[in-house]
Amino acid sequence: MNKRDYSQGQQSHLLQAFFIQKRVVGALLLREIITRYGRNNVGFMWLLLEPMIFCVGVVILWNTIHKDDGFRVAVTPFIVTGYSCLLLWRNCPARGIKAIEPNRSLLHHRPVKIIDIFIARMMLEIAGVTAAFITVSLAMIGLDLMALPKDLGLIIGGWFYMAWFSACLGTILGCLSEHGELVERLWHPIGYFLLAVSGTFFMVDWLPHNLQQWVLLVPMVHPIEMIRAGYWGDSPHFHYSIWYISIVCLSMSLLALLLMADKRMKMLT
Amino acid sequence: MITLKNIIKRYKSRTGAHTVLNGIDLTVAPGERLGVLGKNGAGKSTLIRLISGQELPDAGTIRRKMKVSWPLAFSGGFQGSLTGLDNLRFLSRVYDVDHEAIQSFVEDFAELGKYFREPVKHYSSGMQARLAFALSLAIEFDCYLIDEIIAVGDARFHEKCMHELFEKRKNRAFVIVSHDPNFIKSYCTRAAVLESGNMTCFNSVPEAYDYYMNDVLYAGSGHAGSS
Repeated sequence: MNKRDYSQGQQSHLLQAFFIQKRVVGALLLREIITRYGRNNVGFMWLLLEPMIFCVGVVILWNTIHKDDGFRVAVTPFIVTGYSCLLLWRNCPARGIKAIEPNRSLLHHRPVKIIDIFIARMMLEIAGVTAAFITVSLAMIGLDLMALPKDLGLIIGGWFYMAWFSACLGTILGCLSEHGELVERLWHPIGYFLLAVSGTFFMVDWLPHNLQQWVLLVPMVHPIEMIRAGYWGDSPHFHYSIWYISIVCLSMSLLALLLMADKRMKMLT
Repeated sequence: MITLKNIIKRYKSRTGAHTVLNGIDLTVAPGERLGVLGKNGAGKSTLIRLISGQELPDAGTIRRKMKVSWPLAFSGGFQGSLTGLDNLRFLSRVYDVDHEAIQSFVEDFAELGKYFREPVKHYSSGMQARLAFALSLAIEFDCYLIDEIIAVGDARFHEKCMHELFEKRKNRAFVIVSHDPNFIKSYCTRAAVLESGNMTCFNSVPEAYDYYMNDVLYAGSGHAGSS
């Protein structure tokens, strides 16, 4: 009964639903860009510029602080990899929280589902940060502040997990935030605390052994380590488990889907 | 064909669950104009939202074999920060129609003038309703869901809407909910009365009209009755 079942086509239901969803998400993406960045042509460049400015600013800051103290690794790639990941898992929840409320009027239209609103928002956020990550990396390589990565595949893999995790986190927090103020309020301090253990500003190998096992419970640590392993190669030593992060992301996806289904039932009440 | 089977809808309230619709059965055939009468708070809008798929029932099934419009009401369905034109583009993408093909029709019909390019949040409720009407006519649905919207605009605009809906689209199905029995009486081919969660269907519109007038609206003040 929840199917997008008008317009009798020859295609199967699933395929038909897929095309409708693609269309709706596309429409939502355009709408999102217009409402966020305005009508003028360079407006949507902010999607890329916003995270880029953040990233470059922190790179300059860290390079200044650690100019002469012989930091353990090259500062620029360390910050670019860490900070880009941070932007993903910080921005996705920021966009996900209270995502439904301003879009409620769009749900008047049956083809538009809760999941489409989240897909559009998360896609846009991920696209922006990804574009910024690529641009900043290329610029730093061009400026000789970064070398070419050792294993591009590993970086892409790590980034994929980071984006997947962030989209799930954003959607889950977004759904929960519709039920009350608590999530929105708690996420700020929790997000800040997570920053300390997320691996943004350290590598697992630098920690004492007894701490490593605890830090590796934090999901974000794994993709960041993967990305850094892709950049540096074998040394220093990196710690990550593709199994662990896969299971975390799959469970979070399932939870996100359950929450969205629940939301659909409870909307407008 | 739209088929509702044993629909139950409850809302949570401070005093516990409140049953708005308690086992509604309904079919709407192509070309049929169903009017649903009910007092304020009888669950008319809820029924419309369920048929449109905007909300899901707590129990029962709804099948739609027609392209069903969104509920045309005084407000809703638009993104306030977008202009009328942007909303048109958005809905064209969502419902898969060419926005250029419908733009001039909507602009003419809605009579919004320069407001067409202003954010919808600056519209009056009548303007919003006109835009909604124009868009739903342009997108073309097999079944229109209309929630008390009939008194849109001035008399001339009202006439224009009636002409577009009931003359040019007389082969379409309509579900119209209203607390105005006279409107239902003059435009609908079938009528039902919604009362305390239950729906009573009538074979003829005048029958429904009489029942609504005597037994629902003025129950107690005139002669009481039951069915």
